[in-house]
Amino acid sequence: MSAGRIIVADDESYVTTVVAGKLRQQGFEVLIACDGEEALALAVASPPDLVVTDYQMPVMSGYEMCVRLKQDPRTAGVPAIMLTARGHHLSPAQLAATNIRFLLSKPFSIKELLARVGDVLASLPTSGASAA
Amino acid sequence: MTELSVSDRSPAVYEPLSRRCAELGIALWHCDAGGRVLAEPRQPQLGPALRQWLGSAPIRQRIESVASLFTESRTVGVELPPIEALPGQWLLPLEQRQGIRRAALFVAMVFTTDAVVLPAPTVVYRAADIPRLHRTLRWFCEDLERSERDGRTIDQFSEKLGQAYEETHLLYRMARLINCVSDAAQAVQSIGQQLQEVLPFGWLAIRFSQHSRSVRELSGRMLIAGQPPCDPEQIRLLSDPLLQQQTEAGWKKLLRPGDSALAAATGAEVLAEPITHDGQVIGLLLAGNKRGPDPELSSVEMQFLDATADFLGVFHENLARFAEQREMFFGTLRALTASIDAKDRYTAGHSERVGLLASKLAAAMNLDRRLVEEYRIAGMVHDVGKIGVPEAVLCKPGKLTAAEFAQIKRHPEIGHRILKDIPALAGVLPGVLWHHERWDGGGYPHQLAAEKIPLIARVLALADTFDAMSSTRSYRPAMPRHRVLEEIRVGAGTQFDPELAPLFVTLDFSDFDRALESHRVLEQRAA
Repeated sequence: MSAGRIIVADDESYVTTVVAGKLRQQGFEVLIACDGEEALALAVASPPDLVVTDYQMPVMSGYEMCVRLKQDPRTAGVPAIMLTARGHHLSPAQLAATNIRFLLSKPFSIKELLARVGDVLASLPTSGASAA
Repeated sequence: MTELSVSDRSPAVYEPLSRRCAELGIALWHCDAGGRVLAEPRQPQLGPALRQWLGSAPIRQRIESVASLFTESRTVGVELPPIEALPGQWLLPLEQRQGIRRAALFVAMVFTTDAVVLPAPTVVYRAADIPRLHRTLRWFCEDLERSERDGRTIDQFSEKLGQAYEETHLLYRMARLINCVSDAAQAVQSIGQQLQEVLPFGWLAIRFSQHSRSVRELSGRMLIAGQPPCDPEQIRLLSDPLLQQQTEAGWKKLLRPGDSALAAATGAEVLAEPITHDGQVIGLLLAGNKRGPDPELSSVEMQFLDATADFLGVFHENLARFAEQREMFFGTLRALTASIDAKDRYTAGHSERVGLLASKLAAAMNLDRRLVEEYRIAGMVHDVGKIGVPEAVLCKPGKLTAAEFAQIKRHPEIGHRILKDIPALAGVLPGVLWHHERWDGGGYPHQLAAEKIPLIARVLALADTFDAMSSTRSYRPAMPRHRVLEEIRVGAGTQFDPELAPLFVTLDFSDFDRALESHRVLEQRAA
């Protein structure tokens, strides 16, 4: 049984490849999206346990996608971890409109990301996330 | 999410896919979102006559009508069935997908045995095989798309890996520079240049405030790498307010043209990292005019420059500590030599001048900077053993008795004994012990000859004798310069190293003369 379902969204495929690979090694089921719109579509179709997303992406930014996830009743409870390449400081009000739990700036350590994924999933009330 | 955003350009998979199709006697078209044909089959395998027929208007219309079926079915991923347009002439719709999107539309034309086509197709299939063939073409399409995507990922990986390698290597080189105290400005300049080469910045500046006095060679300096779009002086002027900020509190790293005069002058964002020492801002690392497709600074570059600024802070601290230690070391040495020179008022400043001459000769011999420094120290301490010789003997005017001279001759060995346990002075010991040896073996204490005498001692012998002859002694007045030089020349090969003596006489003695004069003035005041 998988440790949880995670959507990884980034327009740079080398990032999604590395992150997805590491998450799969940890026993997660991973879906890859190359922009916010695709991630949103995947999430709405079947809500994941977590979304790991880049900030800047074509078509729909990671931030907008996170706002929409929270607005949609089907995905309102899905938490997110955001990776940024610009040291973006999202204001508390901006963050409150989303379920973003952590911001990691690029280049991030994969180890740290995995630790944050574990933190987020462990804090989920209903999740059976016993992260591998 | 059903979107028909198909690009007008033939996708990378069209070429390999249509080539495979042609090998199988299948023609392939690429159509746009509206069903319009963008590329038609041109492969030679299909034969010229068939190709011409495939390019005709009725065929094109048939293809476009099938492709437009996709437009009607807006859902991506729905597999449209094969269509028998005319007896034996099958059209197989294909779509190339990227994630949830449709990346391209293709229509393949396959002929079966009952085809009524002129010219006759080269390859015909059984009607029963059409569904299987359709599935095979879909697999081709998916595999080619995947392989194309993987190829792009590998390209990205190689590029990032190359960049990461450069960055790691740069950090490694910087780590090695941390001990480079001999030429700090050169080291900082080299860091700036390498940073600018590795990171995508048009220019980079490293500057230190005037307050960083403890490191004289960096104080107030600004080192620039790359090509700033404005006068470097303007960068200095406009970054002054940043330097005046005492601490990092409230520091804004990202300067934008809208709110910073410095960024406005360069016409782009500037990254400003503070260099600190004990919590005080003592310098700046500035970088601007990012190159490449994305002009906005990213956290990748920011993190790297942040680490570099930290490194420069530690480097500065290291230099300051080193300068302090050096100051202390030379202060102690000077105190020591002054106490020896004070035993005989005629030899005031002698040790310091011998140090000066020894270092000048070492420099003229192109010795390493470190050795030049060592020769200076050797000069300063060469007579330290005189501390063990009675003042009455040292200062005696007129001729010494044999016993008195024997006492004087002990000073190299006494000096050696005094200094031998100081690790930092290990290099100067041979100079102290053997500076009274002669090239012809007639010196003391060990009657070493020629190359048996260490180089440092041969250099000191020249410097020592030159200064002795040039200054007034208890038993005789100073000799004029031309006579001193003549004595040195004459002594080459007997008293002195025959190769060093001719080099020594060509030295510029103006610093020496100034030192001699200032010591004479001090001595007169003391008297």
